[in-house]
Amino acid sequence: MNPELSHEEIQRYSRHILIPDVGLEGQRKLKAASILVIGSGGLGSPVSLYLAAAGIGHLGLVDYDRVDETNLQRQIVHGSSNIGDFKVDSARSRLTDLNPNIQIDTYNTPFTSENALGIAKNYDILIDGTDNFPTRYLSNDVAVMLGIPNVYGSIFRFDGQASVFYAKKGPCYRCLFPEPPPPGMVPSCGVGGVLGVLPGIIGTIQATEALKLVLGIGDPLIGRLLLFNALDMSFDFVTLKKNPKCRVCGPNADIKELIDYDEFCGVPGHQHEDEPNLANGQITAVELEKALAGKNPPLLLDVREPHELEISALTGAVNIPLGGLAGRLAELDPGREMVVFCKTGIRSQRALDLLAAAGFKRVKNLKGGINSWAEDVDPRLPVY
Amino acid sequence: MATLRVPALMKMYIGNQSEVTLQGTTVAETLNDLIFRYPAIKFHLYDDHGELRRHINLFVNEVNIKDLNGIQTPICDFDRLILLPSISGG
Ligand SMILES: [Zn+2]
Repeated sequence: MNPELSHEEIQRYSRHILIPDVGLEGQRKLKAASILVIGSGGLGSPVSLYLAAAGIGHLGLVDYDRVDETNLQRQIVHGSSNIGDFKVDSARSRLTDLNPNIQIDTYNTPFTSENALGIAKNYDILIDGTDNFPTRYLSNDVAVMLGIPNVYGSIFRFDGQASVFYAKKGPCYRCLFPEPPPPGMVPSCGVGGVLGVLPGIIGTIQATEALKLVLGIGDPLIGRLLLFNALDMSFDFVTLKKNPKCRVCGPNADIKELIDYDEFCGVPGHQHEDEPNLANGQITAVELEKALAGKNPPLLLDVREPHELEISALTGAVNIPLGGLAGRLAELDPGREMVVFCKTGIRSQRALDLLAAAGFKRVKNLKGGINSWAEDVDPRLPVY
Repeated sequence: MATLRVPALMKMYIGNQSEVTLQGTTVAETLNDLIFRYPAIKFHLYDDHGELRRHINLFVNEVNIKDLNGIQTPICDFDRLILLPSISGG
């Protein structure tokens, strides 16, 4: 039996209840539903705002990050006064203000193989609003193992994708993408950028699909993938089928429990863009300034995207974006000393690993990237 | 002549266009025409073994070539191909 609605709730949700396909019974289904939103960022913001407003009775929010200034261009559940707060706390206060009738549980932690099943088992639907490949594969596998739908959305610059991966009735994320891209080949939004309104469009589509699933109405995006492009304002659909060789939902699936997703993807899922996990072979901006003034200045290799050079650049640097580096190694002299840099030092660390694996032995990574050069050496350059 | 739709992630390799018209009677021939005209995209499509990268899907008229005849899938005039890589942003 679905819960009763109070008079206040009937008034609040009257525009839903007036729709014959929803009605009182539909609104009670929404009140009875539990939905877990993974990530309180670009996608998680509109998803959680609309699900809270719609009266989903129990919302879960998972995120470990804090709100920073660069989030506010698109993460509309947070505000300027929340900068520095944990995202789940900031989101909870906004959502509670929007709808005090619902229960919101927050998980201020990375979503990992250790805790994911324990958290997700309390929910009927997962919403994938994460920003990295390891957590996307993890969310998918959790949904398959629990037998619940995973409402998927993903964005990059002007492009968005959305689907409902529900292994009981159709394909899962792994059916479509059996393996992640090689590390560094597909940039994140923190690296490649994203139009601020794009997560709004894709996130509201995810929220729509979740509401349809709860209400049991319409034709959900199971077995279909929506491809949106904001520049052309185009919506394309492609058909997805279950992959008989799928390692998690196929008849011969060999993944029966959660795996190490960072290892599977070759990248860490939970790493702050501003806190690179650097290994050996580093050079600071101040040390680099000295080296460049010396007798044998190193070659500067800038692995950022071409348009980032318009924001800030170092004179004489060679630009080969990280995604294309593996195909352009022949342009570089393995004997020459080289310093690789990007915005903050993460992409350049991947470039360094790639160069080291290809036999380059005299490469260093500029610690903190060109942003740290701007802070410590040349204040004329902006930090971005 | 078929048209190929290329995602934001890769359009920089094909002269910043999101759609190109290509020649070929199979998916393989059509991709060869693409690579002949825009060599920079090859590395992003194929791995070291010359196989289509596993995070990339190609659809012909909304159907995945994995559910058709792979890269030997025949292509007719006015067919619409869509290149779909995984993206992770959120
Ligand atoms: Zn599957």
